[in-house]
Amino acid sequence: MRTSSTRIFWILVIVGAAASALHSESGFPVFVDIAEKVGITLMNICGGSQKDYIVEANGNGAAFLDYDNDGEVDVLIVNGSTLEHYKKGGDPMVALYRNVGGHFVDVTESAHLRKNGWGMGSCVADYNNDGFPDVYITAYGPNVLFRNNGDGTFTDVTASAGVGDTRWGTGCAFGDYDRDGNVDLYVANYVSFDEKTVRTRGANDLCRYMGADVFCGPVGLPGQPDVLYHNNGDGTFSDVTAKAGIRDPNYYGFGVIFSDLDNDGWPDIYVANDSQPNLLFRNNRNGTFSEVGLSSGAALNEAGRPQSGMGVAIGDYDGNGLPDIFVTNFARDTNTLYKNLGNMFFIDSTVSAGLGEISLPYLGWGTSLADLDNDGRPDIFVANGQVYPQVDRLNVGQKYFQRKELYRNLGNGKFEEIARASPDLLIGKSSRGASVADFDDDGDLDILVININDRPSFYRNDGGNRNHWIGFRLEGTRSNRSAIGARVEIETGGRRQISYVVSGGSYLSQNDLRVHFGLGEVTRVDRVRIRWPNGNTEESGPVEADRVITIKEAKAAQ
Amino acid sequence: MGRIRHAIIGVFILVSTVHSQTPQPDATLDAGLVELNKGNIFESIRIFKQILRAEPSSPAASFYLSGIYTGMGRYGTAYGYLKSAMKDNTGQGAYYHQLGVIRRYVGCRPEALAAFQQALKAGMGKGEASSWRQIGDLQEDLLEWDKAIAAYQNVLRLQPDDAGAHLALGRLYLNRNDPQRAISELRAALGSASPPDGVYSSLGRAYRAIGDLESSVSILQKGVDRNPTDEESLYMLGQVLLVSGRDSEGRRVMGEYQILQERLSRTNSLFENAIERAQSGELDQAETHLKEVLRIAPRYAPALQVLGTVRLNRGNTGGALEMLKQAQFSNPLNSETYFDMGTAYLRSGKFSEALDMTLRARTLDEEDPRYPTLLGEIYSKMNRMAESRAAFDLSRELQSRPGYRPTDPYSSEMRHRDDSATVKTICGQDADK
Repeated sequence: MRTSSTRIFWILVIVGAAASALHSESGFPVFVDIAEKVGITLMNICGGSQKDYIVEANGNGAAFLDYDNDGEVDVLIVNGSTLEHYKKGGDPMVALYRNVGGHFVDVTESAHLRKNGWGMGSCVADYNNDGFPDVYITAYGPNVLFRNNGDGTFTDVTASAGVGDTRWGTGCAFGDYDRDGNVDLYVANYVSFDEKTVRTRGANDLCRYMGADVFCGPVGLPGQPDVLYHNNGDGTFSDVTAKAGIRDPNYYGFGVIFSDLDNDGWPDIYVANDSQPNLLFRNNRNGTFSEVGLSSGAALNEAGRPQSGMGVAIGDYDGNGLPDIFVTNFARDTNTLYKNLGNMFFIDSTVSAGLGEISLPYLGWGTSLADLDNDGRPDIFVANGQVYPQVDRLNVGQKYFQRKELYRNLGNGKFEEIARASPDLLIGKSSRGASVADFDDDGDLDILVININDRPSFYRNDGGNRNHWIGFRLEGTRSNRSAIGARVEIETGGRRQISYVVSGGSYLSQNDLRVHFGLGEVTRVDRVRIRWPNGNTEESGPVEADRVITIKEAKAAQ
Repeated sequence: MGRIRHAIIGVFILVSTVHSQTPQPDATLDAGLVELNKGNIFESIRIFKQILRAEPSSPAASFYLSGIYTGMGRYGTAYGYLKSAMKDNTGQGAYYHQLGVIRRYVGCRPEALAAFQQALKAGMGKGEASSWRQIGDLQEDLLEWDKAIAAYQNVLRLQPDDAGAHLALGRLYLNRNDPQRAISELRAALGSASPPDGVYSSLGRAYRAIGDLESSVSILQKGVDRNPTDEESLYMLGQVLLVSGRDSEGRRVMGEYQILQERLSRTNSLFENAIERAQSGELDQAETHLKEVLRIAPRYAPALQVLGTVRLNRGNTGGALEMLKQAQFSNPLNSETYFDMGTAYLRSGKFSEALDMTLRARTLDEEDPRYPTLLGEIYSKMNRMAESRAAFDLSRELQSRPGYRPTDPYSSEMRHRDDSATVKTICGQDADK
């Protein structure tokens, strides 16, 4: 035993030293999995190990939110079920962990969040503008809206709010598309799945992958249309899908995000679809949308082919003041970086950005375009994992358990893969959802990842805070209270950065609603310009770096 | 039919290899090859099968049939013939190559790769470049791009003008962010006598990658002019025009692309819908949908065939034959078309035509018990009772075979699928895999 322990000790020392060396070489932070240490230990349930049916393979997401407004960001994890359990009502759909000084305590029961079903993902917003973030849970089966009561508890208000879509919900996002001060809700739906009628593994060639028998679908199964709910401002929502021109041709929806992609002050909607073109609904500023995915260049890859969109992230990677789109896709295909050229036109820049060949073995899900090293440029994180356990028996350059991808933004339009500096990111898991937040308020962004049929990984960012940073917590007064859709622009020494308050995105997940900027060596932000969701703008500054600043929307018009 | 043609071309490549490695082929075999060469695939199948009836161990006839059935997407049947060919004659490179092709089509890439490597080891003669091409494609699929590049370079060492290898290399370089090398390879592909599909869109992409938008537009426009349904070139052209600031032209091209996409998507969904309607007995609605499919795509063989079947089952024998003849013209290798025509002729009292068509169906597919059943009925009407009894007996025997499943009358040749066990056998995988 002693020999063995000694060996393990030296291996750890060597690995640690190697990581440190890489860290010092690259200057990029190291990510260390501290999930167990901080108490995030919920075992994910999502079908059996062989993944006989598609419903067992897509996993779950997670959300960062400060549900009790104590200034510390908490964690909500969505859980699935098994076909057997589901027949009896399913498993607990969510677990809520309260952040107590960097350690997490399971408060699901006391928060009255115990509800059974087959959960998928979540998105967060203060839909009733009472100052406390509420949670929407998508599910295979009826979705659920939990209203935050403001006293540490939640109430299931799905029925009275009218948002209990019973189809197979996946991604969701809140956004105030009509700028009336109330956040609306978009829910992506996937396929119509019925265990009784769907064919078994290997039943035909749509149920085979590289010669192996795998679950059937999504191709061959009927897709389900997405839904847009308008928030009536009285605690209820109305399905305005058709009225608003949301015409989803029953594509297999996954990742969804509201973002003002054409920078006209009105939020547009982007949906990553599995095995089909992605959708981009341009806000017509009159309560309706036009689908412009194809003409915008953001529906297909460079070769004009639909991919298998899973997760989606928004960020201005090239610093041109416009949000770019990053979509994760299936294995043997690249993830796709759509560079925003303005006027609602995008160009697939994946290969030229160095994100092409390297991503081919991986099946990407949760993702973020966030500044992880605080150098002022958003980097890319991707959580990976195959859907077919059967690939392990094939010699095809892929495994069911896959490492993460971490790309450092080099600032010249290119990225460099840097995960090797973080040994924990190289440990294979079959990961799905991913969320980003500075959970320990140390000035750098940490990453929570949900692993299918496994415990979560929680990667603490060690070293990102060597550079300076600034965070903003925005509170709408005339705009929606969560300020979802607000555009924050900062200027430091003549250089500008933009970011947004975003609900939804990634894969079935929700990042912290606070906006984070890396500042490099700069210790002061000269100017902060906020365009609130209702279109009003405010400027302030200068402000000192290395702090989170709360900004409340001015009550008077600007 | 494109895939059939492609696979048949593959067979031709290997013919010389097999000929050089087998005993002197006889005149009947040559007759089959002549028909194959002329594109009379049905006739060549008939001849090769005749040879096999006379001499069941004829490896060459089995081999050619394997190639033809591969082209028809009947991989289980193709594998069966290949196995026969290899039984007494295991050492031929061409046979391993053919095994690799079948394995690749059913999706087991590592096993296909092993077969092609074995083919090269055994000797492929003039077909060596063909094996390297396959290896290149498989290595690319298996994400071993360096090995894929080496394989394609081997092709070009053997056949410097191989347009397909130039295109494959060009695409790989493009995807590796090396557009200059890609352009060199893609221009070589473009310079060939018949540039392969995809060269225009890839070259357009490569020019865009180096910022030469004018050349990109020019080559993509040529691609679209050459083939207005080249979706990739059309999409790329629209995108490059928009990037170039030629907004109205770009929007117009993207509009054309969208119309093309909608047409394809509408055709597919109407056809799927028609099949579902037919399967649930709503034949009038199925016919309406199929007519709409054929209005959009008049030569779509599966729709022609299924409409023929629907009309037949609605009692419209004349209308059925009209469709089935068109289906036969579009795809002369669908046994269902001949079966339906046999049924239609039988109902019309044209027994010799019915017999001819049903024998054709049986020539193409010897496993389906409905064909000998129909033959039994036809022989009975023709008072050829002994033959009728034999046909009914054969039908019963086929139905009693393990794994027999009744055929869906509304499936088309596009829907033929090998079952999981067959795929595993082809791939040489363990039963539990």
